[in-house]
Amino acid sequence: MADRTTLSARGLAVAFGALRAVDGVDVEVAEGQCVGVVGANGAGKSTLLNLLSGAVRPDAGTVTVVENGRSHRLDGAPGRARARLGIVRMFQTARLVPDLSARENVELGVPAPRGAWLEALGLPTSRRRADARRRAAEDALARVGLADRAGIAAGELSLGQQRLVEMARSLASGARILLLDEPFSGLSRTAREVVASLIASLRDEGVGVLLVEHDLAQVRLLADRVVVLDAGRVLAAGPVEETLADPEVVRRYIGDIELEIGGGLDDARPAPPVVAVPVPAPLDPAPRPPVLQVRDLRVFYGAVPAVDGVDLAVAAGDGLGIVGPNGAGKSTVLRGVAGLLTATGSVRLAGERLDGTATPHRFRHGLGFVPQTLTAVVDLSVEENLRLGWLAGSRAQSFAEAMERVGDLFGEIAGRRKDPAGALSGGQRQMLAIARALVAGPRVVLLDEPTAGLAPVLVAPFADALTRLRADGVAVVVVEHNLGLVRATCSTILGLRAGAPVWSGPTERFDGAAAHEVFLAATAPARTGPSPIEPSPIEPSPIEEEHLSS
Amino acid sequence: MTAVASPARPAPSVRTTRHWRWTQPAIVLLVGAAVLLVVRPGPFDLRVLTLVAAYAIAAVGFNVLVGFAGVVSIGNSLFLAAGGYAWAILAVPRGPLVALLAGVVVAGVIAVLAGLALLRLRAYYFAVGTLALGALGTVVMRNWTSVTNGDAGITGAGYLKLFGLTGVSSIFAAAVVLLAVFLYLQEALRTSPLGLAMIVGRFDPPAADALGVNVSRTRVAAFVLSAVSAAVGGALVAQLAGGAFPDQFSTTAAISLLVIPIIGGRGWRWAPVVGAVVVIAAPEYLRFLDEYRLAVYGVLVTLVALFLPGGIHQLVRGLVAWVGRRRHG
Repeated sequence: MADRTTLSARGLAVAFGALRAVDGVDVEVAEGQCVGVVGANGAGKSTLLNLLSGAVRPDAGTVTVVENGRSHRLDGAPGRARARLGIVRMFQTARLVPDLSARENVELGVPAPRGAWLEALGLPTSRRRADARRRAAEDALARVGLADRAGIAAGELSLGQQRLVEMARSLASGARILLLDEPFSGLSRTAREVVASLIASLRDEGVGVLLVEHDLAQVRLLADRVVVLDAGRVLAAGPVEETLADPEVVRRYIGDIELEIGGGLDDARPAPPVVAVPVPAPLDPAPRPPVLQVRDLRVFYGAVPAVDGVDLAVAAGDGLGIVGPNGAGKSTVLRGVAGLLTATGSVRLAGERLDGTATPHRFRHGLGFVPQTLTAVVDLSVEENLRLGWLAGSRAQSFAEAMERVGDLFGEIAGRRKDPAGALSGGQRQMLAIARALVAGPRVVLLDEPTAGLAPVLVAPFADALTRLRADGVAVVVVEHNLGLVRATCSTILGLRAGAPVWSGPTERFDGAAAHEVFLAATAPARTGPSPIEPSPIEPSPIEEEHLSS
Repeated sequence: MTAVASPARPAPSVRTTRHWRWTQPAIVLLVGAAVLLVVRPGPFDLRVLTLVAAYAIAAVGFNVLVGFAGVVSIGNSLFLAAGGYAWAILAVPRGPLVALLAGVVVAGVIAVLAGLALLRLRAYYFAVGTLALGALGTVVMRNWTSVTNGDAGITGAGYLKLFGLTGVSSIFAAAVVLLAVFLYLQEALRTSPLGLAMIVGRFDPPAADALGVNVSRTRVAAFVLSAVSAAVGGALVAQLAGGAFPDQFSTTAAISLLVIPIIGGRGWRWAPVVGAVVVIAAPEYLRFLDEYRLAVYGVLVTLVALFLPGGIHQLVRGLVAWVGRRRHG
């Protein structure tokens, strides 16, 4: 069995300044095997992947690949050398070339045969090769269910679809060892199933998979072995169930993950009170005037409306959750409200019209926006990043007051105010992004997938922070896949599908049937919900027209 | 049927990303033939058009360098000069093929060496390094008198005779044919693994590395291609001028090369041609403005830079989308 393709690392270590990000880690993946890597934010999971893929050079330790019976030492080899040996790495956020079509992005992964550069001369033989490459790319796209998106520029796909395109690229690359960095984060349940079955079938076809993942349900489903990291060291390793049952692991990392703040879709009960703060209910029964009111919002990508006919209203201290499958246009709604995309319709904040104004104007007038991608200025310190956010806002409160508030909500960030933002872990950076919106003194905060990339143990404290924010009188609009978080922090829910609202109502009424309707487009067995929005039969929505004419 | 089955999101404007490779060269050849046979422009117009075609050839490689690989060079006048002087020195004694190839080889070798040395630098420093390369070229042209004849330059260079034509018409025909060849190569490159590798290396070097792309090697390849196309363009410029002179290949020429793809819309396959028309022809036809000529030209270029960051390509795309909307109601 010695000639099985195997990637193994011994004693890997790397330090960034004083931080020992990875400190003596052993890990091994063989073909046909799936190894899960789990750990809290900042445990060193992504750094481990960087060391294995060659993006970061280790200070100590060895990386070896056995391939076709030959062993290659790769300690200092660049990423491209490893890629050619079949070690393919997928990044946490999809990294596609936005201008190239989905198919061309996948073609980039197709291994180039010897002398492929001759194709650049446009010789007659190149056509056959180009056709073969194109077919391979289209097959891979079909496997992830995106065959009909092949010709579309990658930048115009939703983030979930971009992730699937990158998955297709890994498929097309003929990878022997696949390094996956949280492939499920920010994906809808249906897309998760597609990705999970892809990973399972790749493993069964003999690909070795190293799976860094927060979602332990997926790790349990897919992995044969699991490595638990904690502060750069291996806390435990071994068969999945045993390791995850290890009391030390449960105590140190897992904590209360099985408490599952992510309330299941089929769970018809209201979410259990997962945090000390009681589940928020509207403070007084009389309807209060909305602080943010959006009417008939249409948001455009180029000439095509990606979102159409969205109305929403949030009162001060209220929470609105926007849910729906990938590509439903949830993030698009937020970007339209923030003025980051071309939009029509009215946007009023505290009675003032904001539609048609530039984004900085909206931010100065009390709108806060936390994008999904982590956007801290890495060279500046945490405090300087926060000051930037404060400068862009209304400055109704002093910076010191704003910092105090940050300290209340995100103590972990306030404690590292002098550190450069680049030294924060992914989860901490997400907190920084939210804190940066908060110091601007907003009346409404729009949050785009705030828990994507957040360790499960941090989700409950995060929900707690949102609730306190609401108690402070700030209105919150959250786009989120974690329905448990939405139910714990929001008073109303808006369900989107295919760019149009399909459900809206108070959180208590959002039950399994409603979720089925929103996410699976399944006719709910019993429509108990108050207002599944009926599409008007008279005027077909422009989106459908677009489909018919294309 | 697909309209019913197509899921979730409305299809955004489908951009066809592959073109039939022959369409663009065919259009160029047809337009060239039409100019010679039907339009029959006067000697001044024909000279301007020939210069446009020569610069368009040089700009094809530059479009690849700036638009695909995302690297900026301010020193490509050196490669124009290599092509121009090789033509002027070798065309009459050794024949056109040797002259053309010699210029290409000299430019290519310089580009490989300079590329390997300079492309380790980050973007801005690379640009500064190439500026030095261009300056070096000027010094050599002016002072290596035994080869370049110094400031006086080399005259009596001769020109390519094609299709039984003579004079500027023949140079124009040669320029059009060569332009068609380079445009074919440009499109072949863009759809090839090497071209895709250049593009991903421009957008996201770490991701390119993870895909097995050697980013610095693709950049050197783009730099060499820009040198080769500049050498061919330089040879045509020398033919048109009847010789090679230092002033033809000054830094101004390098800046023109840089501006052409940016005005056209970098990476766009028509950018070299459209950009060359604007950058080379427009100043010639603004001569009626006398001393205000360059001021007006400068304002025009600034306006494009301000309002069309995607170059003329952006305008074309907007027009196409607008026409599409009108048609679909």
